[in-house]
Amino acid sequence: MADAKKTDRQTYASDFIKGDTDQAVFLGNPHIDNLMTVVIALGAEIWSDRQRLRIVESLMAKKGKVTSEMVEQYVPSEEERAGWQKEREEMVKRVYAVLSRDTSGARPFGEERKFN
Amino acid sequence: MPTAGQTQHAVLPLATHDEYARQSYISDLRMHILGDIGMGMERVYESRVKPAFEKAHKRPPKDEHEIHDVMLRDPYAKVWSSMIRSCQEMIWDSVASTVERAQPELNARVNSTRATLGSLTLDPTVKVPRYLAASDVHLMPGNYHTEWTSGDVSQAALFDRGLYVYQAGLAGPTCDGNGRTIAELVKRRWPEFKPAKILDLGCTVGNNTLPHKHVFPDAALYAVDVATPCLRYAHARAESLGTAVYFYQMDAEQMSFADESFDLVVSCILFHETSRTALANIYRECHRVLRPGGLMLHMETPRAFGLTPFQAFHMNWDAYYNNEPYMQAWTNTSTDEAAVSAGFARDKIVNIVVPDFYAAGDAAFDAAAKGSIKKSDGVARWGETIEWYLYGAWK
Repeated sequence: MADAKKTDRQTYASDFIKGDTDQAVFLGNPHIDNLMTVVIALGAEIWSDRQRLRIVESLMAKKGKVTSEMVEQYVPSEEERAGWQKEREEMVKRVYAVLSRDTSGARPFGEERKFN
Repeated sequence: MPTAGQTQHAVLPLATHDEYARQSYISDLRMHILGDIGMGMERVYESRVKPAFEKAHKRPPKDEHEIHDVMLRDPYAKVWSSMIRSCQEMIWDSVASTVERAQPELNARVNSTRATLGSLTLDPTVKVPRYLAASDVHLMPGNYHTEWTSGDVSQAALFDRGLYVYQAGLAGPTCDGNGRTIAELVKRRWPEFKPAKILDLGCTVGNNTLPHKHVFPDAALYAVDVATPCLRYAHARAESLGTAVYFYQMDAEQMSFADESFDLVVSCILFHETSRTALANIYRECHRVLRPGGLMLHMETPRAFGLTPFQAFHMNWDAYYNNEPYMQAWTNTSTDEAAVSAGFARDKIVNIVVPDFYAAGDAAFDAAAKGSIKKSDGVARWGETIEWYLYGAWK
């Protein structure tokens, strides 16, 4: 197309890179990618229950009772919101920090003797 | 449950407690993956991927494409990619249930909105360009334009809340950080320039449109998009937020506004979602509709020219795996040449990098906008914060 050469340098860029919404496999097997999604989704479900628990605790302390409707209508204070965010961020780090570990020295299990 | 952080305007669907909690969690996790885990990507590249390439080829990788080929074979990059991809999909999943539940009532509310401040002008003859219709941008199922039923605005509501989750609230309670940054920059850098008529291109739900009216309250504010659901929703949203905007359904490549009818034409994060052909056409339209002395200013991501090959690889990840098919074309296209081809004089071209208005704070942003500090000065607040790239020209 006429504008394709209007670049400041040599490039191999395509004008359009087709997305791979359904096909991308990152971890060698689509089922393992699915398990990553499961791990993330479970984290979200656990946090949802954790936050609900905090609301229940707060309502019981303030009003001595709790209903589902009270949970849905609950408006946290700014302090509570900040506390939830801090707790959430700490949970995320605690659960997923291992994935930022440097694995450059990792060796297949059972093959230690090859390296010693 | 009232949506924490985001302004609960009249057409933003109300999430349940559990939906809100999931959205908050995905938002925070995404930031962790981009930040803490994402930081490791460059470390892995420098410490093992690049040395292995150099050993095999007797030279370093020459560009982002060679880095792409080797980097994504590394286990760390694979895990990072799998996580960020899952998170992106789950942003929309976490919001979809809220929108689906609200849909009938939401559609009725939006479609009964009366135009008391601005207006909405739809044109059913406007076609969604192929570059938008071909894929669900950012993996948002249904994209910006799908109507699941007559008068539907579901996609706009999905985008409005999904955008807030994606941005983790960093763009402010109305997700207007980009537009606010442009408007504040124009006002502070060129205080003598007082636009009377402003046009925002590719406005989606109008989140980055409204701040122009807040910063230039005397200006008449116009906005265009091709997506019907977004325009309907944007109009109702703007009315509920008390801001007058004249929304038009138009393709920015071929608008029906008269020649020389605007003082300021802006866009936010538009061009990496368009084709190169569209970019040239839109630039020509900007030149046509601008009055002499008017300003065109587009906020976008950085282009490859100013990035290291690794940074370019990292940014182009989204082209391959986040349905941003034109990201790579955008990062390698010269906006200067596009501006000149569109009719702008080369010496009137404007390229500016500024920190984000909200993240930098008023004083630091003011100094940067006026050019009294630059990123190279090593200003702490700038170094810590998000920065935006603006490309444009005076007519």
